[in-house]
Order: sequence, then C-alpha cells, then structure tokens
Amino acid sequence: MEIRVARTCLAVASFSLLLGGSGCGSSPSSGPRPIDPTAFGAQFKIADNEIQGWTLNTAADSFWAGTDLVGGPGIDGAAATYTERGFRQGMFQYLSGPDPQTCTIEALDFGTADAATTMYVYAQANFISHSVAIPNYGSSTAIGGAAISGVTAYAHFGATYFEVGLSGLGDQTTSCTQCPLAQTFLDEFKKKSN
Amino acid sequence: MSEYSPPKRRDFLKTAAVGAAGAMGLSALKFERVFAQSSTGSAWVNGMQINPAIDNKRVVCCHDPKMLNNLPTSTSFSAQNAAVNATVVNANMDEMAMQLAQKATAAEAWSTIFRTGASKTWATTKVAIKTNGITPNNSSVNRVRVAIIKKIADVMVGFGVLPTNIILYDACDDPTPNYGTYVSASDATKIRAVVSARGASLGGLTPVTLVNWASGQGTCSCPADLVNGVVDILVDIAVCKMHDGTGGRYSYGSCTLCMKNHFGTFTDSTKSGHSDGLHVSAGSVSGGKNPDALFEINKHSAILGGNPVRQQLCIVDALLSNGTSGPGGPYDNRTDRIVMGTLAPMVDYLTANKILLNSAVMTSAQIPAAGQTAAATVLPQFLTSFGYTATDPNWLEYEASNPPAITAGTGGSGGSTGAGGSTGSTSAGGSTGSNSTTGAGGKGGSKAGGGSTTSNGGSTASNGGSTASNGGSTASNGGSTANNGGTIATGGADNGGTTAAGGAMGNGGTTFSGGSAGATGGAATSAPSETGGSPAAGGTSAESSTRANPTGGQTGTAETTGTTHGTSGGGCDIAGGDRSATRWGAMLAFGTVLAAKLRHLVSDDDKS
Repeated sequence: MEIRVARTCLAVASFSLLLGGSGCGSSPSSGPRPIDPTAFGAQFKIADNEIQGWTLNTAADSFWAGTDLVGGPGIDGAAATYTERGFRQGMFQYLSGPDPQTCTIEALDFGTADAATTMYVYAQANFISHSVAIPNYGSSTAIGGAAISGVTAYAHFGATYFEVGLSGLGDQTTSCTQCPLAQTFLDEFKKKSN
Repeated sequence: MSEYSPPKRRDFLKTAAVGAAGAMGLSALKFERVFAQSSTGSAWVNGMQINPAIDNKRVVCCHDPKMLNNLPTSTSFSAQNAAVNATVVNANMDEMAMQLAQKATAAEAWSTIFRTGASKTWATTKVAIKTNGITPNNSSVNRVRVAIIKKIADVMVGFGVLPTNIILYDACDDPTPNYGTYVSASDATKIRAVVSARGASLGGLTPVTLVNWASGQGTCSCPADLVNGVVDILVDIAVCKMHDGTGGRYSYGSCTLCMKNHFGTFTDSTKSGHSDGLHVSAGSVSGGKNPDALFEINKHSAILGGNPVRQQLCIVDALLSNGTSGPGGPYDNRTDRIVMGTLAPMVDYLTANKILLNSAVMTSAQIPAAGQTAAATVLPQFLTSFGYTATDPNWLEYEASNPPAITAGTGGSGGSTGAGGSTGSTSAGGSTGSNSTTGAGGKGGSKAGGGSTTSNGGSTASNGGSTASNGGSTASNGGSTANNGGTIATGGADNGGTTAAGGAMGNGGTTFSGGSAGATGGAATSAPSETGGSPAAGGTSAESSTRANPTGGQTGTAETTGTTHGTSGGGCDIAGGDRSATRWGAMLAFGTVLAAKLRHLVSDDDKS
C-alpha cells in the first residue's frame, strides 16, 4: 500500500516537472503564479541600458510594483477595466530614452493566459484609434496604437499583459517610426515572460 | 522657463484695476440670495444661479492654434508645458472671461466672475484650485497645463488675494511631484499659490456622508475648508479626456471633465490615490449607480454652498485631448481649445458633445463606438439631473482672432411719455426708466408731449443717451433725438445706441428757427444700470439740450427717429448735444423767452 502511494506520488511529481519544464508561458506550474509583486516587478523590470540608451527616469514614482492598480501606477478610475478582467499584480516603469523620448511600461499579471488574452482583446477593440503593426508580431499577440503623441504597443505573453507607451518622435499616425523600438521592448518582455 | 515672462507694467495696471473693480463690487453682494449652506448634502436647487450676472447655461470656448507653439516634444508634463505659449493663453483667457461675463474689459469681467463673501476682504479670501495630481511624476498623463492655472492665480493676486491663500490641490493625491516646481508664493513667474498634498493646506480631510459612496471602500472625506466654508472661491480646472468608467462601461458619460475632477475632492482618507467609493459606486462593481455619484458630489455644499456660491468657475484645458487613450493615457489629439463656464454639468455636457464626441475636432483619435453609444444615454443626464433640457445649453465657440462682439443684455425700459409743456410752462419729459441689467442701454424716454409754444432743448437723457423732450417727438431707443419745434432729428441709436446724431436742424416755432447742429449722442459703453429718459424740462425757459448720458449699450442699429412734431415753439432740441450745441440752445431759448415777452408786451400795448 505504501509502495503504491509512493509510486503515485512519484508519477504526479514527474508529470509536474514535465509540465514545468515545457517552457510554455510564464508559469512554471499549472496554476497562476503566486501574488508576489516584488518578484513580479523584478522579473519584468527593464534595467538601465538593458535597452541601449534607456534608463529609469529620475523622477519619484518612476517604478512601482504592487497590487493596487488605482494608486500605484495611477491608473485611477480606469483601474476597474483591468481588475474586472482578472488583474492580480503588476509593475509600472517610466523610462527616459534619447532626449526627448520617454517610455511608460505596464506589465500586468492576469493569472491565466486566457484572462490576459481577454484583456488584450478588449484593449485592441477599445484603446486604439489608429492601429499599426508591430514588426515580427501578429495582431493576435501584439498591436500598436498610433497617436500624434507617440505609439502604445499592446501585447500579451502567457498570463502577462503589457502596455508600452513611447513618445518623443512626434506624430506616429502617418508613419510609425517608433514601432521598431516598440518591437525591441516587446522582445525583451517576451524573453522575460519565458 | 521661457513661457513665463515677468508681468509688464500694463499687466500690473490691469490687475490693479481688477482688484479695484472687485472691491467696488462688494457692496452689491449683501443683497444676493443666500443659498443652502449645510455642511453636508446638496446645495443645488434647480434654477439656482451660480452667478447672478452670468447665465449658468453659457459656456465659452476659445479656439486658437497659437496657444501651442508646437506639439510637445514628448508626452512628459514638462514637455507639455514647454509647448504652451503662456502669453497667448493669458490673453485668450481674458477674452474668454469677457465673453462669459459679457463685459467690455477683462477687469470688469474677472470681477464679475469672482466674488468673495460680504464679510471678507480680498486679503482674507481663501481660494482653492482643483487640479488632477494623481499619477506618477512627469509621466505621460495628459494633465492641466501650468499656464492656465497660473492665469487664475494671477487674477486672484490682482484682486489682492494672498498667494498663501491660494491652494492648488488634489485631495486624492499629492500634486507636488507634478506641479511643485511650477508653484511659488513669491515668484511671480510661477503659479503664485501653495500646493496642498491631499487636504494638508485645506484644514485636513474630514468625513462626509454621500448616498452614492460605496460601502466598504474606506472613509469618504473632503477637505475640511471646503466643507466648513473656509474656502470662499473654488475653481475647477480639468483637462479634456475621455473616460471608460467602471469596468470600461463608460458610466461617467465617456468623459472625465469638471464634474469627474471632483472625484479628487471626495476621496478615501484612509488611502492615498483612492476614490474607490465613487468609482465603484454604491457597492456595485457593475457601476450601475454611476453617474449618480458624479451628480451628488457636484451638488454638494462643499462645492456649491456658500454665499456667493463657492465654485465660481469651471475650466477645461482642451489644448490637448484624449479621444481614445483614456483618463490615464497621453494626449492623442491636438484640439487647441479652452472651455470656460460657471456650472460644471453645463461645461461638461457641452465639452463632451462639442469636442470629445466631435470627429471634426478630434481628428486624430475618437472615443470608441461603445463610448459614443453610452454617451448618448448618460450625457443628457448631465442636464436633466440639474433641471435643464437639451435646448438649454448655450455654446459660444469662437476663433481667438475674431471674438464676437460683446452683446449687451436687455436694457432698461425707457421713460414713459412725458407730458408736454403748455405754453410757457414746464413740461415733464419722459419719466425715469428702469435699470438695465446686463449692459445694454435702456430704451429711451418714449415720448414727450409737445409743448405748445416754446420749447427747450432736449433734456438730460440718460440711458443710452435717450432724450425726452418737449416739443413732442419720439425718443428712440438708446439715445436718440427728440426735439421740439418740429425738427428733423436724425440718429438716435437704438438700444444702447452708439453715436446717435443729434437733432440736426430744428425749425423753431413761430418765432424763429431754432435748432443747431446736433452732436453725437448716445455714445455708449455697456451700462449695468442706468435710468431711462429722465424728465425733460419743458416750458419756456428750460435749458437747451444737454448731453445725453453716455452710458447706453454698446451697439445698436441706427435708426431715424425724431419725428417732426409741433408747429410752434422754437428753440432747439439736440439729443445728445455737445457743449457747443448746448450753448447755442441756451442762447436760442433765451431768445425765445425774450421774443415771447416782447410779443406779450406788444400784445398788451395793442390791447391798451
């Protein structure tokens, strides 16, 4: 009886290890990642010059990791749009690039890939006026919203949803000169998601 | 920063004049209606006027691409401000105040818009300016530009308000990270004010009860100085942004403007950056109670209590606007506009409809279809909740290069028919007209009965420079001409008439031809209060025409009045006559008297 139990446990453990090592998604386990904003923030934070020329803005509040989407990154009244779709924890960063370029980043954990996809689909339908393609990404994974003030890239990798806002190169609605840079940021997040 | 140039002497004189005018206006306040001032609950009553001299329904919008030198080089707050041409903004806001208050000068306009309590001096007046200080420092959020806030602070300082009594606040968060470097109580190149971290400079936060505050969402609180009436003047300055409400359901009318701005006045005192009780609303995460919370807080006595009403001006900074990017996103439209009014729901309703939902204005990014659909349902409630209908709003949008003329309001009624003078007697001219209300000259003395024999010139005409005379002619509106002796009076303006040519040539009565050149009369500026045609002295020895009171309205269609009346009686009647005309008239009148006496003597001699 004990041997049978031990064999069963071993089998379960092995199966779990197999899943964990598959490299799919951001969660090594089958369930949502633990609520640990510090760890989440550390995983997705862009270090100074990790992308050449981009560093954390010197202003206060340039980095935040937490669960309070209202008061943290200041999403304020729009926070419920995310929380009702499963937001659990997140990271915000405000970066300065080659003058006068700036970048705001939101990496948000939705617990499951399905929930992150739902958020992405909502953003795609509601946050974008001029959609532009992000190089090397299909629109089911990432898309850009061009504006006269810059471009915001929306993407989802596994259970994590991203918004990357770039400004400083002028009107992006006629020509998205910052889309390749958006791709660079998304490439980093794709790596960090795995 | 380059956009803030030191005040020039002319600016100083202008603001000094504002202060003086404001002080003069104090005396009128004590007669104003006192509105509900309870420390909690609604202060709004349908039909209530925020400012007795300004229609709640009037909202002014100035369009001027010159207010931005260029698109900001990035979306950072510093870049947003660097792009603003503060000098142009300053001038445009003066003109907007004039359009809103319908006053001919900025000094008059600002002193009409802003009023302090009857027991207050400007030096003891406390002013709160609501901005949005939430979100991280210098990030990409579209927020109220410094030049607009600075203008309001400068107006207040011009009145005599102490910079330390001007509080720039967001009770929900600390605006210091974003605005701190732009504010100084002593540096005139900056916003002369104090930045309040939450309620710190406004007496702290004090609990208030709201029907639509969701239970379990912390403690609903408000700056104590607003609740207790320590703040005399509240100015609400929002930026032009769309807003997807709770869960993205657009429950705020798809916009966040002046009313939604006060989600940062009523806030959870236990947690910075939070007004969840309003955002969620009444415990329903579906947001089904909104926009009720929006209306409740904007009727609250903290906002609309006081005497005069605390919140006196609502401004939307629509230089840059958010059509798609939501309340926390960067601008996505260059709209080059500023909006101003006295009643927040009226300002918001019109701004949402005329700017945010107008694809001709929001050319770069529009509110998503779901938001537009929701707006069609929610926005009308902005009006109905305050007792208005869709036909009420009065949107005045203009190009800064071509502002509309300041149109005068209804003038006072003119004098009534004056009794004509009988021979040799004194006739009463038109009676005193009523006061005009908002600027136009009143209708002049209507008609004076003609004197039978002699006349004097027109009498003193008041409002609009009207003239009632004996000799019996029709005095036109706003400064016209009447004459006796049957002259031809041209001119006469209209309500508030400008330049009314006086009676040109008056043929006198039997004795001689009177009349002289008429002068320009009825020159008018706006006239808040004047009397109508005052009595015209008739009779034989009255003085000749005198100058029309140049306090009529400003514009008017010239009309020909001054019908020919009377067949006897000499003298001249010069409406709005100038001094030389008066001398001529006096001489002629004297001659008339002399002639009459001579006739009388001759007649007596004949009898004898």
